[in-house]
Amino acid sequence: MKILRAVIIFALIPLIAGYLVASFKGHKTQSTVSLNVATNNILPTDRITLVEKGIISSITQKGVTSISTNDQQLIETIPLGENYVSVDKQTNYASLLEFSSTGSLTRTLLNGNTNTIDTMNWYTDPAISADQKEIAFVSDRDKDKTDVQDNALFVKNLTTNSVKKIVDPDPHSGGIANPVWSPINPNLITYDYYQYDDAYNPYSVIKEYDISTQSTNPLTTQKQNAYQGSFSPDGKQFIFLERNNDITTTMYIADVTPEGLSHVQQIATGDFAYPKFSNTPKHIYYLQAQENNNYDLDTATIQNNNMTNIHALSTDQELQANSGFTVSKTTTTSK
Amino acid sequence: MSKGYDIPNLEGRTRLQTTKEKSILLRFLLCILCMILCFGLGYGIFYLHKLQLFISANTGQEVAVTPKHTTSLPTITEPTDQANILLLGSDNDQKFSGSNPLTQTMMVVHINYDTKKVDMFSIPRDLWIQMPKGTSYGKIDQASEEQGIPSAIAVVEQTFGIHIDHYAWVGLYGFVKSIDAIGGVNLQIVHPVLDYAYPTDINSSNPYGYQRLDIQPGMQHMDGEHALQYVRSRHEDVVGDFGRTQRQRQLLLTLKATVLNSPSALGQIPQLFDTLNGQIKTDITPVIALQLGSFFLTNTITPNQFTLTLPTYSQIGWSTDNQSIVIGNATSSAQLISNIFGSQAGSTTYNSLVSVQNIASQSAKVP
Repeated sequence: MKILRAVIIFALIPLIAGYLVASFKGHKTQSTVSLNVATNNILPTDRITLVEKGIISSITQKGVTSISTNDQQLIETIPLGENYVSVDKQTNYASLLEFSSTGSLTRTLLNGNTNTIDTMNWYTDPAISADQKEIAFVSDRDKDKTDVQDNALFVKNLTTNSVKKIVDPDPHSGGIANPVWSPINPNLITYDYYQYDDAYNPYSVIKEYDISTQSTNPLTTQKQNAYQGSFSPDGKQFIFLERNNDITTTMYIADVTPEGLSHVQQIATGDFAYPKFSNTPKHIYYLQAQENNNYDLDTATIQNNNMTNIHALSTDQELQANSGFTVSKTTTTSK
Repeated sequence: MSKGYDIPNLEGRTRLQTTKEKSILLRFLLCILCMILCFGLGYGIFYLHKLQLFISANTGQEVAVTPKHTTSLPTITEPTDQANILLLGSDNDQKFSGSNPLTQTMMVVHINYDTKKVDMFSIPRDLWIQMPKGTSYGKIDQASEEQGIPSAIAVVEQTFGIHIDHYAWVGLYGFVKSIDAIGGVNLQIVHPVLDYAYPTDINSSNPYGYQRLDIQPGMQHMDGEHALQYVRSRHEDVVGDFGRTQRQRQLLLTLKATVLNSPSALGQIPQLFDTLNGQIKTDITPVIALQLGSFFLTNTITPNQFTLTLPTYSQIGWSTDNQSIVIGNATSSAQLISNIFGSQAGSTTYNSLVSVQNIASQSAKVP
């Protein structure tokens, strides 16, 4: 009897407990995680804006302001004064929508839905000019006119609502992405141009377009395979990524000159996305892949062409790199 | 002054008392150890039970009768020094009504346990080959229409002179559920993917319809459905199936890194067992799966990747019934196969592809 009791207490019950614990863990569903940011690592000059699952978050050192838009399909967002311009990506089209600071839809800037699948349009990668009067974006809206299916570069005047195509890609090249306005030259836009080499290997080049002269100029070489460039707030420096392979990237920083980029310096290699300058000189923000399949939003100091003082702003959450983020000045836009 | 209890006289303890105390302590520790072991055992039994259910539901051994092995199952061998695993993917969408879908994705993973080297080579779905029965020619992905997976294995073995040790097949639904079960995957999109006629043939009210895709370059987090779109789209890809094959290999490598690096993804494995039942077929036993897992966990390996769709290894042609096909370059393909699998395999590859080239004037047109 004693032996039976001992077996039950010391063997059977732990055995069943082990099975039940494993069963509970095996069926446990993933909990949702809210945005958790170490705001003390954000510089006082900066306001970071990003969108995750329909919630626009505006992050400063003072805290996180979250705005619910009730639109789960938002994939990119950028501030426009007190408002936000976001990309609403549906199954067959994408539109550019403007939301107020409370999250209500203010206006549809560009509607990709034509109600006929063959004429629907993609509108993505919005970028607001420094004077906030124009918005650059990429779209396939002229595909029926040009027979070029890839995304071209357009500019919309936010006052007159006129839309003008400024760069058309070569047919079947891959198209244009990530337009960025120069903060000091209202005529200058950089963009990523995707192409194939002679052996059909894909590559990308960062180019600049001067609206006043209607001329393009490559800022990087084919070999560099560069993308996701961004200006410093004073327009004197440029940061971009070079794609090494399917996983790793190298981050570069360069001086902006009238002839293009000079003093191109490698600062780090890793799995990075969307490097951006802070409004405080020599500081940057970027996304970096983590081993848990998520991305951390990190900040770092650039010192002697190296990244130092690296801090993660986002921790232990489902931050994903689809939409990137923007860095703006707190003094003009924070609430 | 008495405190109401006796202070033990340690010096006066007998040897018997000390032995008794030691015995009690030993029993106590044994009981704790037993409890821990039994708890672990119960924990393990749950996962073993899940694994057993999964294996029995998904193993394809009962259908693995190849023309080469006409009456018996293919021999499942434990990994020795090398192993070849054939990865197959099929568009078994809502439009598909037969029992043996085409194997549009065919990839051989060659593992050398001694040198810790892994080679992956992709076979173009449109590769024009002699069918296993030897009487007709066709695209390599059509071989599976005869007897399913066994025919696909046989045609790869016959064309390239290699032995397939194991296979793993996944259909569209299995693919989507696998990716979802590990929480999605982060992919570095190296080139925009625009498709104006991507089929809406899974989980759709109109399996014959189509939709538009716009997958932008840069890092993207994709759930199962979007990852499937990324690796399946090819309509606007200027390099056609080659571009698609590149994307498939990229996903495979990213998945490997994701699963091996992410404890949270590994934690989803029980869920994966639940969701994948009937969605994949494989003859990889739990023992071999553990050995493979251990090999990839303990060794940092970046597989060499090759694809026979590259212009060096093949060129586009048309069959007499105007199908777009790929004609393999016998010399360069044989060299590649020889480098990976040895000269005998290279020689077989050369002979099989040369025979196709020789009959090209009858069965195919090469530009």
